[in-house]
Amino acid sequence: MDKINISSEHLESIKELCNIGVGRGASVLNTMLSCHISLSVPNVKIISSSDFKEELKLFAKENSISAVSLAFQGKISGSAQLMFPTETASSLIAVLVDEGDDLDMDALRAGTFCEVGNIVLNGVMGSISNILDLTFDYSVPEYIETNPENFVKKPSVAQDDSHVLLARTRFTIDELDIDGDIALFMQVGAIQALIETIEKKFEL
Amino acid sequence: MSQTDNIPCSNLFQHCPHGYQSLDYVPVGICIFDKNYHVLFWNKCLAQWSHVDKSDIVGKNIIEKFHTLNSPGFKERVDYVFRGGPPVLFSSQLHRNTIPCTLSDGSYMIQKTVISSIPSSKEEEFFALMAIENATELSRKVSEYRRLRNQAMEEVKLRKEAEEELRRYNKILVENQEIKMSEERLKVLLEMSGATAHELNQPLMTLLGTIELMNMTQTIPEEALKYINNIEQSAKRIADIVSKIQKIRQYQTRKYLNNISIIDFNGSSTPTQD
Repeated sequence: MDKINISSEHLESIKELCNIGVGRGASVLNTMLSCHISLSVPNVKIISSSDFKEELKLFAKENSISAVSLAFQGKISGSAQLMFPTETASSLIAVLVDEGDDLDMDALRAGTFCEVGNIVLNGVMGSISNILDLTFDYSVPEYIETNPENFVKKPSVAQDDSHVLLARTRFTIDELDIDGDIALFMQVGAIQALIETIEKKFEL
Repeated sequence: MSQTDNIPCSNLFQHCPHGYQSLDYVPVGICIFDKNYHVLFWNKCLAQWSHVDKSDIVGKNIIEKFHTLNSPGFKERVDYVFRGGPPVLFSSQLHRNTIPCTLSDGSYMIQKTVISSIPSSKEEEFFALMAIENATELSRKVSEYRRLRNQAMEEVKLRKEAEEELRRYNKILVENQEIKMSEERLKVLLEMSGATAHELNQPLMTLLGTIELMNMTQTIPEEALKYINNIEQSAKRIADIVSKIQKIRQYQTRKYLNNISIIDFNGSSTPTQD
């Protein structure tokens, strides 16, 4: 497996890009919805897909995972995903649409969760492409619900040489505090290209 | 932008790549508009759903025509599509509909909308392709499913409560039955013991009186006196038992041979603590 040479400056730059994107997403969500959502500054790290599998199991505990996936292709290709344990995703949506404590993740709620994920991921991908002058071809965002074991078997995650840029952020809605993960799945070459672009842009 | 800023559609179409007309044959509502929100293409399906003819909308500003699109955050999200940004999704639960379309029953169609970036013939220029799916049936089915599920859950809850109540009453019934049986047993025992004591006392008194008379007789041989004494002891024992039977106030048993329970005279005649 190829190794990734990443400095703390690189990580800080990526964190800044994610933070701008997450902030943009939060701003759109607050404009659209009546409840106030704040998204914390993400904690960013790059890990191998095998380490990610372990993290995901801990993150989901015994739950299934609900994720919104946005695939992109260009100079850097991969997929961006916003992930929550399904129960957490469902409570988030129940609060957003004011549906009490009903936690069933049906097709309507999955669609709403997809829109919330779309807003956050568009913010993140938008800031990456805007600031780094990158253009991507995007697929239509899709909703995925599966257990952590099957989630890590997805082709975008399971490749041996793929790495995950994991940005963990916290959604705070009134009194509800929930953790959500934003993950960017890229192969080593793509992450290296991202780092090179950051180096050029920020003259690191 | 006002209605007066509308651009003639002939000018707009010159930038459009050919082939949009094929979108007239897809079963979803399709609209293509530029960065000024001027409609470039309006497919047949959307015209049929919205009752707005292509000729009435192409070249016009879509937000001015449909105020539902003037919702908070709409432009902020869609503007980025004109720079090649990711698709923007509008869920049926948060937005109900993007283009109001009336159904045959008079209700509004519930829609799921995706606005994607498509390149124009000019470099670095993108149009927005709005694809609208009719999600009315799905929404109704999900709502119906939720109603039935909630009803079923309410019924299960009520059934559980009823079962719990039934268990509680059953327990009370069993307890009452045991009390009643115990009372019945005691009643029978008291009647039986009263009758027994009464019936035994008569011959017992005669027996004890006769023994006393025999003891007073001087002519009884020494050997016979020993037997008479044994008879007297047994008669006194019977008198003691009869006395205990008379004092029975509760039903108490003790184990006997062959796993049989018999009345415990000692225990039953002892006054209870309470």
